[in-house]
Amino acid sequence: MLRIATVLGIIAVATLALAFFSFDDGLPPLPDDPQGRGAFVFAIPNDPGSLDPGTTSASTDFRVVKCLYEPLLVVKWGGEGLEPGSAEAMPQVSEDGLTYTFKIRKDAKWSDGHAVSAEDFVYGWRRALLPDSASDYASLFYVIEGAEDFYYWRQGLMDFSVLKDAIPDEEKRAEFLKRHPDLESNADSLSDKEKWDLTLKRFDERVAIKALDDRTLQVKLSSPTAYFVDLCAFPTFSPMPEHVVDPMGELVKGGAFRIDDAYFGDPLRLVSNGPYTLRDWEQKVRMIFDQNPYYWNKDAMGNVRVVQETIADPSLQLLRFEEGLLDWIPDVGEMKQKLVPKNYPNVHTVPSAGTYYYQFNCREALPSGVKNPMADIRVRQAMGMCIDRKTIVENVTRMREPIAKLVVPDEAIPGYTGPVGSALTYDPKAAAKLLAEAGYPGGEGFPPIEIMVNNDAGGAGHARIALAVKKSWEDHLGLQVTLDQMEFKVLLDRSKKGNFHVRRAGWFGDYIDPTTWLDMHRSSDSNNDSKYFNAAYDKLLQDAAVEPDKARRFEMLAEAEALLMQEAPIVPIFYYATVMMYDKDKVDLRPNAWNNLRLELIPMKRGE
Amino acid sequence: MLRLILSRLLQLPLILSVILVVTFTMAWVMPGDPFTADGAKQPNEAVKQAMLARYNMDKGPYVFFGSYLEGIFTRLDFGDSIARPGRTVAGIIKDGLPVSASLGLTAIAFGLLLGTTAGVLGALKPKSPLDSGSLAITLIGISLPSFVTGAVLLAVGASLTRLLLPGLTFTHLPLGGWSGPRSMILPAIALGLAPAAYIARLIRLGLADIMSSDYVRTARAKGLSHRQALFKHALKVAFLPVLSFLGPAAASVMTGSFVVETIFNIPGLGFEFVKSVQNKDQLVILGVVLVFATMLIVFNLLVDLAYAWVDPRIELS
Repeated sequence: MLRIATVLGIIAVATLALAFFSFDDGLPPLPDDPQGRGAFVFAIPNDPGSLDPGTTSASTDFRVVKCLYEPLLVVKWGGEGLEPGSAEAMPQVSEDGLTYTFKIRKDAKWSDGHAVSAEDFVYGWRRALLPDSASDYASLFYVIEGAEDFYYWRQGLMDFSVLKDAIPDEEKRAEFLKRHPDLESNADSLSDKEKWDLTLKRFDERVAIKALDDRTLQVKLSSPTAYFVDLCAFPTFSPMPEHVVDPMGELVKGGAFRIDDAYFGDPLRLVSNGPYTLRDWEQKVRMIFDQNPYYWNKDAMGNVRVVQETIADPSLQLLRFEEGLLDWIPDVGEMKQKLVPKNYPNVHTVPSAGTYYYQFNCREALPSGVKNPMADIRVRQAMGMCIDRKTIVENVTRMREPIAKLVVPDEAIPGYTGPVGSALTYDPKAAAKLLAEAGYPGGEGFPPIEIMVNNDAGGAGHARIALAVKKSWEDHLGLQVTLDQMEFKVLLDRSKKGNFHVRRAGWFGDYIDPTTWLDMHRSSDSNNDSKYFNAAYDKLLQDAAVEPDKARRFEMLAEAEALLMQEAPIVPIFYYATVMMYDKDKVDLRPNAWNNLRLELIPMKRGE
Repeated sequence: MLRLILSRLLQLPLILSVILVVTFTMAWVMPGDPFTADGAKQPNEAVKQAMLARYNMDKGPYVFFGSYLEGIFTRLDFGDSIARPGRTVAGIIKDGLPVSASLGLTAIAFGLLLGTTAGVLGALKPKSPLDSGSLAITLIGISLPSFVTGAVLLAVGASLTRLLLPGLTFTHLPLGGWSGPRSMILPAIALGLAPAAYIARLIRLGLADIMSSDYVRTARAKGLSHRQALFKHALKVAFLPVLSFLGPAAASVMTGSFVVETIFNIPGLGFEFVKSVQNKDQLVILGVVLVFATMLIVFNLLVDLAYAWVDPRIELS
C-alpha cells in the first residue's frame, strides 16, 4: 500500500509542479493616451499564417497586416474609393496612362523613427515579386513593365530545370528563352552570390519600379491598367524597412535570398510604418497591436490597441461576445445556421465580393479516357438551368444570400454593369429539351456523374447544396448523380488534374475589377480548371486589357462575361455573405463587400 | 532492472526511425499540397515551384527526407512549419507541449482520484446506491464523448455561475482560455472523465474478483473486517491493472486532445495533430508524431518499472 501511495504521490507532486507552469495572465496595460482611447478586440478561429505583407494571401491575414503596414494608398473608411496613405497625394498619371508618380509624405516614419523612403517601397515590392520569397501574389506585379519576365528569369537563373514546370506552355517558353539567350549558361556557371548581384542589377535595368529620389517613386506599366491604383492600396504593395530587413537577408540553400521568417512574428524586431506596432503574439492565443508612436496620423486614430484573439470554437466566440469580452466576431462560421434564421441580435449579414458557383469539366474526356458529356455546351446549359438558386438560398442554406446569375457580383465594381440578360435562368422544361437535343432524351445514355464537394470544417453546407442540385438533376433531367465528398486539398488536386465531372467552387475577388473573376477562364490561365476554351473569349479579354477607355473596356468585359454565362463552364449560384456580430450602437465598423476595414479608425473608449 | 532500462532505451531510436519512415511515407503520398491554406487560393504553377524549392521539396521525397534527417542529426533542427511561416517545428512543440502536459497530468490526477474513489466505494458496498453511483460515473465517462461533456461543463460551469451569482465576478470560472490555474479546472474534468471511468471499472471489477479469492478469505478468517481486508490486501493487487492502463493513457492525454483544446481554447499540442494533417504540413506531422511515440514508449517503460517496484513478484528481464 505504501508503495502505491508513493506512486500516487509522485503523480500528485508532478501535477502541482506542472500546473502552475506556462500560464500567462491577461493583457499588458493599455498604452498611455491623453485622449482616453481604448482597445478594439475581436476573434478569429485560427492564428494568421503570417504577418509578412509580401507573401501572405489570406484575407484574414491581410486584416492584421494592414494594422502594421501602410501602402502608398489606402481604401477609405467604409470601402468606397481611395485616399493617400504613405503617399502625400494621389499619384500623377502620365497622359498615356502608363507612368505613375507618387510622392511619399514627409512625416511618414517607421516605428523605429526612420523616415519611410521611396527606396523602401522599391525594396518591399521587389521582395514580394522575387520568386525567392515564393509569394502567392507575385503575379499582381505583372502589370508593371518588365516584372513578369523578371520573375521567370530569376526563377530560371536559380534553377534552370524549373522553367519547364513554371512555364508549361512550350511555345511561350521558347519565346521567353529567345529573349534571354544567356540564361541557361548563367544558371549553370555563376555562383549564388554572382547570381544575386546579377539579379539586383537586372531588376534596376528591366523592372520599371524606380526611386527617383528619397520621396519620389515612379512606376511604369506595360499597358494601361485602370485598377493599378487599387493595387497600390493592397497589402502586397507595402513597403519594407530596407535598413532593418536587408541586413537580415542571406542566400540560403538553392541560392534564394531570404530574410528570417521569424522576424515577422517577433515583437522585438518587427518595424512597421502603419498605425500599430506588434506588441505581442502568443501563438494560438492572441495578437496585440499597440499604437505606433511614429505613425503620422496617430491623432486621428479611434483606438490605441487592436487585439485579435484566437478562439477556434465558434460557440465559445459567441459566449465571449455575449459576456462583452469581444467587440466583433468577423465571421461566425457554422453558427450562422442558427443565428441568422432566428434574427439573433447583433448579427449582421454583409454581402461580400465572392461568388459561389458550380463548375463543369469541359474536357472532351476524363483522365481515365471516358468520354465526358459535359464537353457539350447544351448539356452544361441544361444542367445549369435546373439549378434552382432561389430554393437553395431560402431552404437549403437558409441564409438568404443574394442570388447570383452572373459571376461578377452585382455592384461589386463601380461602373460595371453585368450582362444580366445572358444568364441562365431556372427552367427545367427547356432544360430537358436541350438535353434531348444533345442526344440524351430523359437522361438516356448519360453516364452516371459525381458532384465533387469538400466537407472539411465549415464545409457541411456544400453537401446540402449538392444534394438539392442532385435531386433537381435526377428529377428533371433523369441523370444518375452521386455526391463525392472530400477534403478541400483533395478537391483542388483533382480539379487541377481534370479528374471530376462537376465541382463546387467559390471565388473571392482580389482586386476591384471584373477581370479578377473573368481572367481565370482564359484558356491559358493556370486557374482554368474546367479547361474551358473559346478563342472569342480570350480575344475579348486580351483586347480589353489594352483598351484605355474605361467605359468601353467595361463593355468588352461584359461581353466576355455574357459569353461565359452562355457557354456555362460555370454556373453561379449565390454571392457569399459574411455573417458577423457586433453591436451597431457601440462599434462603428463600416463593413463592406471588399473587406476593406479601417480598424484604426474605429472609436473605442477606455474601460469598455 | 538496469539491463531492461538500457535495452528499452536502445530500442527507442529503432522504433522511432520505423515510425518516422512510415509517417513520412504517408505524409508524402497524401493528396494535396501544403501551400494552399484552407479556403485560400492556389498559387500558380511558377509560384508553386518557387515554394517547393524554398522548402527543399522540389527534388523528390528522398532529398527532402535526407535533408530533414541531416537537420536533425547535425543541428538538432526539426525543420520549419510550412503553413505557418517563421515557426519551427521545435518551437511549436516547445510552446504546446508544456500546456498539454500540465493539463493532461492534472486530468490524469483527477481521473485517478475520481476513478479510484468510485471503484472502491462501489466495491465496499456492492449493489448499494454507492455502487450504482460508481457505475453511473463509469457509464458517463465511457459513453459521453469529451465534446459533449466539455460543452456542457463550459455552459454550466462558466456561464450559469455568472447567471446564478452575478455579483461574484472573481469566483466564477473563465470562459475558456489559458490564463491561470482556474482555467484548468473545467478542461481537466472534461479530459479526466474517460480515464476516471476506466480506472473505476478496473478497480471495481478487480476488487470484486480479489475479494472472493483465497487469501482474502484467509484474512477475513483471521478476523479482519471486509473494509480492512479490502484496503490492506485487495486494493494493492487491484491497482496493478490501473498502473498498466496509466502509461498509454497518460501519454495520450498529456500530448493533448484536439476536442478539449478546441472547446476550451487552450493553446496545446493536440490541435497540431489534426491541423498539421489538414494542412499537409509534413514536418509538423513528423514532429508531433515523434513526440507522441517517444512519450508512449517512455511512459510504458515507467509503468513497467513502477509495476516491478509495487509488486516484487514480477521479474523484469
